[in-house]
Amino acid sequence: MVEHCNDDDLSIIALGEPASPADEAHLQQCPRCQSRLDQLSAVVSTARQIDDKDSLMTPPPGVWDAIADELDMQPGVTSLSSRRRPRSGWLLAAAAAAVGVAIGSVATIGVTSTGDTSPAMLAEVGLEPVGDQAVSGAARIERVGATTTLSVEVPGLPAVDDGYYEVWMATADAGTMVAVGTLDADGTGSITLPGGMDVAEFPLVDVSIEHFDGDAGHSADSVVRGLLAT
Amino acid sequence: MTHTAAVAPASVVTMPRTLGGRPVHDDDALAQLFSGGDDAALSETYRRWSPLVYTAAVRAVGNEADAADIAQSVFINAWRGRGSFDPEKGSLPGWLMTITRRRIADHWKERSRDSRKVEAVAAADLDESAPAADSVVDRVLLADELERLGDPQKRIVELAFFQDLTHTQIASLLDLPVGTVKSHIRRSLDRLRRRLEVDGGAL
Repeated sequence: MVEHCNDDDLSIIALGEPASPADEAHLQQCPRCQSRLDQLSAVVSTARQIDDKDSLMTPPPGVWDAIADELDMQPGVTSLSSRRRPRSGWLLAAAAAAVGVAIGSVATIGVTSTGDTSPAMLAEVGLEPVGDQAVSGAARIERVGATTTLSVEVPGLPAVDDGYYEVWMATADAGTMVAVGTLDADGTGSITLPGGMDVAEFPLVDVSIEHFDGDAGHSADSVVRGLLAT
Repeated sequence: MTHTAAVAPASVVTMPRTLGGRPVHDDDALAQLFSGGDDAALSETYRRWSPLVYTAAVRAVGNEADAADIAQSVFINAWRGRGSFDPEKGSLPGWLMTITRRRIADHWKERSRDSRKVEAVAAADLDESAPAADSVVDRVLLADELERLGDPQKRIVELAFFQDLTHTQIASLLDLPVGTVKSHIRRSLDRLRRRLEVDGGAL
């Protein structure tokens, strides 16, 4: 009995390249392979009709307002089209849950003595992409003497039009967020944390896109995040 | 006295895994929160997926006002009907797009009824518009998924789709082994195909 066509070859055939005589003969008599090919060919032909107008548009702000109104949403759930976000954004609460549950990229915050002059690493965590972002990075908290530093590295961040990347630390339930500093153009930042800030209380590290718009709140436009376990 | 800092070894810092080819990031957690009725999950779902719903609607019905009405009704219906959405069976965006397709179809049905009433619009026009709507939605979905493909997959697929290069031409252009190009094409096509699958329960 003839073997089925392999999926690599079927994909190439779906793109319009000629089938080998063996594949051709097999497709004639194998409904399974023919049906796979038909599905892939449909994807190819639909994709080839994509034009510029198919790129995504944002609905007008009134749409969300009407939904929130109709569903009688609590006032805390805000329109995302108005960029003013409460610091207790749900976004981060969900992120905290998600990072903990789905990603498991977790490090432990340890305790070191103060007074050392060599850097003591307190915690390290991978920063995972948020939504459809393609970048990821890492964050590290170190202490030298009495100074605690958060180092963030997110390679490959695209430049922001009229804006910049801000680094936040938040409580695990995201009830409180602190903007601790910004990233340099190369996606790195070495941020001295405020003295007296209890790092274990703010285990969620978040990097967001912010604009020069005078709005000090979180934009809800995060690129990467990671949760330090306490 | 010095306590040892508990430092995660590099291997503990894991990248998102994939499950059935789909990257596991917080889309899945969001779907869980949504189906659990978390108000804030609706807001985030809207932020994340309303451009897709709205753009598909604009392209399918041809005007922004009707598309805005459709987008509004999709999210209201999704929220009220979240009990019938099963995150185990399908993705949240897949389910939202199923509802979007229905609302688009409803739109054309209403238009068709209106036109019979006023006998103003040729029925033939409507018959052509309605089935075409489905493939317009597919196009928007695929355009979005193409944007999400990382390189080199995106570049490879674009060359194959839009420049009509053969896989061997692509391999030599990008200086990649032929087998690598073929398997990137296969995986990308499969990912695009899955994006078009209708899933997540009925509404």
